[in-house]
Amino acid sequence: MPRVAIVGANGQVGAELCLLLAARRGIELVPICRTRSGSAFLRWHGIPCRHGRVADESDASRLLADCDFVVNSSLASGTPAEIRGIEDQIVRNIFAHSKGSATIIHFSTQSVYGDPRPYRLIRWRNPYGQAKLGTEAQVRARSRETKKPAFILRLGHVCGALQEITLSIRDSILSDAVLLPHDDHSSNTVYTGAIIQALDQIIRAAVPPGTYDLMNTPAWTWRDVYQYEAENLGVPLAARRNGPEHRRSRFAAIANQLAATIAANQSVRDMFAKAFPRVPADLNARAMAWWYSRRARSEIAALTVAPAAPSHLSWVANGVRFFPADHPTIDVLRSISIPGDVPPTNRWPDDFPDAGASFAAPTATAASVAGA
Amino acid sequence: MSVPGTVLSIGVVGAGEITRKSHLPVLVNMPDVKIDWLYDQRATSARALAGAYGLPAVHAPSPSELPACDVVLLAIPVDARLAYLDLIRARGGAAFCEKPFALSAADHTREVQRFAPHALGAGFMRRFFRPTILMRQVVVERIFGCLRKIEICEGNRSKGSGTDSSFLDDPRLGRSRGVLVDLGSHTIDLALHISGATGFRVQSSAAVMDGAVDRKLAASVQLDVGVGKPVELDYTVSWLDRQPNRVTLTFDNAVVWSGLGPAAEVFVGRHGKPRDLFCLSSPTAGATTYGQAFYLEWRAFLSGFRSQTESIVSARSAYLTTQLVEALGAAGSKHA
Repeated sequence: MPRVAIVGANGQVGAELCLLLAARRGIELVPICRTRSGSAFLRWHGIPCRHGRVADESDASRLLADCDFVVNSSLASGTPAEIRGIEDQIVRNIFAHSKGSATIIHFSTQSVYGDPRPYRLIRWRNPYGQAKLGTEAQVRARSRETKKPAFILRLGHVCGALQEITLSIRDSILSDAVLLPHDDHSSNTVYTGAIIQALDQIIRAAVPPGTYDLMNTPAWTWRDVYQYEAENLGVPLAARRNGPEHRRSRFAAIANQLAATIAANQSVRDMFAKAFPRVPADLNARAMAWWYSRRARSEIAALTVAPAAPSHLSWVANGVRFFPADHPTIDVLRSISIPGDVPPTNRWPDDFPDAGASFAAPTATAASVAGA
Repeated sequence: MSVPGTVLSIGVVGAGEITRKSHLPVLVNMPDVKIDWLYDQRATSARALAGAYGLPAVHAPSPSELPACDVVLLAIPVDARLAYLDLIRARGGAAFCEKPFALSAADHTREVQRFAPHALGAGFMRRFFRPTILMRQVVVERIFGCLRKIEICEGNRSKGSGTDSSFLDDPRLGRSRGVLVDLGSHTIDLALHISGATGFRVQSSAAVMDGAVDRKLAASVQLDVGVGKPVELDYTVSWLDRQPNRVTLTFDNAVVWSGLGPAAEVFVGRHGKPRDLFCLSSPTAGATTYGQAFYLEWRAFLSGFRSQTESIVSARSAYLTTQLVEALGAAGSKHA
C-alpha cells in the first residue's frame, strides 16, 4: 500500500485533502504538521499526524524517509527572503530525505502566470508569483539531480467544503447576493475532489511527470461553480449580472487605461488647464460641458450603493498544459464527500510513528544533494 | 517619575511576531517615545528584529543586567514574566504586558498589588476598536433599553502552523497553551468591558480537550452589572471549527451585532427579524485597524504613566477577565 506524505497538512488545502484521503482505501496517509496546535483539527477528526519541520535537515528524514509519495502543500510565511529560503529548504529536504524511489508532487499556483486582471498589456508577476516560479525551477532541478519523478501542479482557486472561497460563495447564495460578471469565462477553479483524483492518477502512474495546470475538467465558469454550490445547498441560484455587457476590445481597454493614467496626473491636468484659454470658445464650452456631465454621472452613480462582483470573478483564464483528468470533475464530486463526524472515541489518536531506522539513512544521491 | 511631555524610554522584552508586526511599528511612530533596547533570550532573533527597525539589541545573561528604562514591554509568554516584573518593580519602572496578563486570579492580584495602578498595563487592545466603543456607548446610554444578553462566537479551524516552535506547544509553558487563554481572553474581556460587569456566575462550561490543552470551549455565564437583572453571556471559542466571529447584544427593544474586527460595521435590528436592519453610524472615535488599536492602547497607558493616573488598560482593570477565564477553564476541563 503506497504511503503518501502531505507536507503542510494543516493548511487551507492540505487539511481538506487529508480528510478526503483518510477516507480512501489503498493508501496510507501521513500528514505532516510543524506543531501540535497546527495539527489539532486533523487529530480531532481522528487522523494521526507526524510532527516536525521538513525545512530542518535533522527532522526531514524521520518525517519522510518511508514515504512513497510526498505532496508538498506547504506555504511558508515571513519576509519575502525568509519565504524563499524556507521554500528552498523544504524542496531540498523533500528530495534529499524522501525514499529513494519516491515521487514528489509539488503544489504551485496560477500566480506564476502574472497579473490576473483582464486587459493587461503585460502580465507582471507579483513577488509571490515570482517566488513560486523560482520554487518550480528548483523542483525541476532537484528532480533531475536525484532522478526522482516530480509533478508540479499549478492549482487554480481551490474550492471545497472547507475552503474559504467556497464558504463565501455559499454565504452569498444563501443571502441572495450573487453577482456574476457578464463575461462567462473559465473560473480557474479546482475542487479538492479534482486534486484527489489527480493524486490518484499519479499514484497509479497513469500520467507522466511534468508541470500541469490543475483545474476542474472540463473548465468550469463561475456560473458553473455557483450553480453547483446552489444545488449542494438545495436552493435555486438567483444570480445577477454585473459589469459591462459586451466585452471591450483589448485595444480599447488598454487605451482607456492609458488615458485614465495620464488624466490622473496633476501636471498633465494643469497643462491642459493652462492651454484651454488659448483654444476657441466653443471648444472651451464643450470641454466644460463634458466635465460637468462627467461629474454629474459619478455623483448620480454614488446615490446608489451598487455592490460590485468580487474582482477575482473577472480574472482571465489561465493554463497552458492541463492535467489530463480521466473523469469529469462533476462526476468525481458526486462520488466523494468529506466523512461525517468522527466518533468521540476515535478523536485525538496517537501520532503516526516516525520513519523507521531502516529508512533513516538517505540514499547516496540524496546525501549528495543534502550536502550540496 | 516622568515629567509630562518628556520623551519616555522603552525597553522591549520579546522579539516575537506580536512585537515585530504590532508593537514596534507603533512605538517607532510615537514622537514622545524612544526605544532604548530590545532583548530576547534568543539573541539572534533579537539582533535580527532590532536591526530591521534600526534599534539597539541588548544581550544580557540575566534579566537583572538589562539596562534601566521608563517602561518595559513584556511580549513574552505569561509564564516567563516573573523575573522581569521583579526587576521592573525593584527599579520603580512600569511594565506593559501582552495579554493574557495572568493565568490565575491569585497571580493577577499578586502582581497588581506590587505595582501602582498606572505602572502596570495589560494589552487588551480590542477595547479600542470602534465597534467596541460604539457598543459600549449603546449599553451605557440604554438607547435600546437594558442589555439582557451577549452572544460571542469566535474562532476557526487552525490553518497553517504560522510558526516553527510556538510557545503554545512548549510544555514548559503549561496552561497558557489553550484556545481560551490565548484567543478567548480577548473576547471574554470584550464581554466584560462592553457590559460593564462587576462579577459573574458560571452556569456551564464544556471544553474539547486535546490532552491537557483546550481546543474549543462553550460556556454560559451570568454577568452581574450592578443594577437590574444579570446579563446572560453565551460564549464559544474554537480552534477546531468555523465560528460566526460575531458579538450580538440583545436589549429590551433591539438586537445589536457586529463582527469582531476593528473595521466591522455595527448593525441594529429587531428580535427575530434579522433582515430588517440598520447600520449604526457614529462619530465615535476608535480604531478601525489593528495598528490604530495598538497605538491607542499605548497612548492611553503612557498618558496614564505620565500623569500617574490609572489608564483604561491598567492591569487592575483586567482582573475580572483573568478571574472569568480561570473559572471557565476550570469548569470546562471538568466537563470535557
